[in-house]
Amino acid sequence: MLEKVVVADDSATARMIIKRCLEIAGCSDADFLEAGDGEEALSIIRENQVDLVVTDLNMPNMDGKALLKHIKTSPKLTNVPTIIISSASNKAVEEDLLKQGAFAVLSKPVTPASIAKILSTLTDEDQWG
Amino acid sequence: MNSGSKLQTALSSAIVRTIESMTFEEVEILDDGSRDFTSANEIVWAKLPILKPLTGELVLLMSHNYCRSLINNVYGSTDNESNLNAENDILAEIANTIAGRFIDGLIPSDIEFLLGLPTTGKGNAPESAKKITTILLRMGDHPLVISIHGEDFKPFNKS
Repeated sequence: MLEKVVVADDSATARMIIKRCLEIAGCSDADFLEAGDGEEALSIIRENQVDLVVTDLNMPNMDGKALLKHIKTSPKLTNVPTIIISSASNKAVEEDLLKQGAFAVLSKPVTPASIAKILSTLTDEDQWG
Repeated sequence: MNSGSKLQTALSSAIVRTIESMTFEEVEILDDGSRDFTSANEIVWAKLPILKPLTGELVLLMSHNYCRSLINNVYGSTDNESNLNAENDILAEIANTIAGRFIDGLIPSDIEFLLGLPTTGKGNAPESAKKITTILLRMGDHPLVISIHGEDFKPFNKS
């Protein structure tokens, strides 16, 4: 069960929509920790036992790709599944981010169905124990 | 407008997918947007640069009333100050998402693309480079206009 989920996006509208999709997709009991950029997200992730990170790609200060790199190169954080959501994503971007350790890459607009599909894969792989 | 063009197909698909997913409202595509609703309404707008591999702009116009109803739809009621921030934010996010899906539908999927940062405003529509195509939509009683600007998009506007 997902208890703490970080949602990082510089758009409050996008964070609201992502949270709503996560709730509909089965995370209605999760505690959502919001961040407006990658730096804020990383600080939250370091201070909390986080089960899932859902982050935008293009953000000020630290973007989603840099955040992913920090997560994947930290022994303490490397197992935290990270989903990247972006308006500027296509097959080329997706392949690059998956190579760098993203659990999944989704194009905006996200839907409850697209999130649910990724969450079911997470459950199958027992990423959060 | 060239309704059979790759440009129109990609733009229509991007708009419908974005608006319906973000607002949970059904979209009706009306025509080529030649009717000028903007002078009769208080309008708000977002303008988003498209940087790579094609260069141009996407411009989104909607009535202020519709923007407010979208905010209620997404956020619930908010106070006046946060309403203003939310208006700019929702306009920018819709423009950004439509632009992403539009370019994704236009260019080969193995080519990365780059979008700029959106700007938003209220009142007269922003000045832009040459307009290539426009789509007028309706959500319920509310009109919404989206146009693509820039010579790079001209070759895609053929059947």
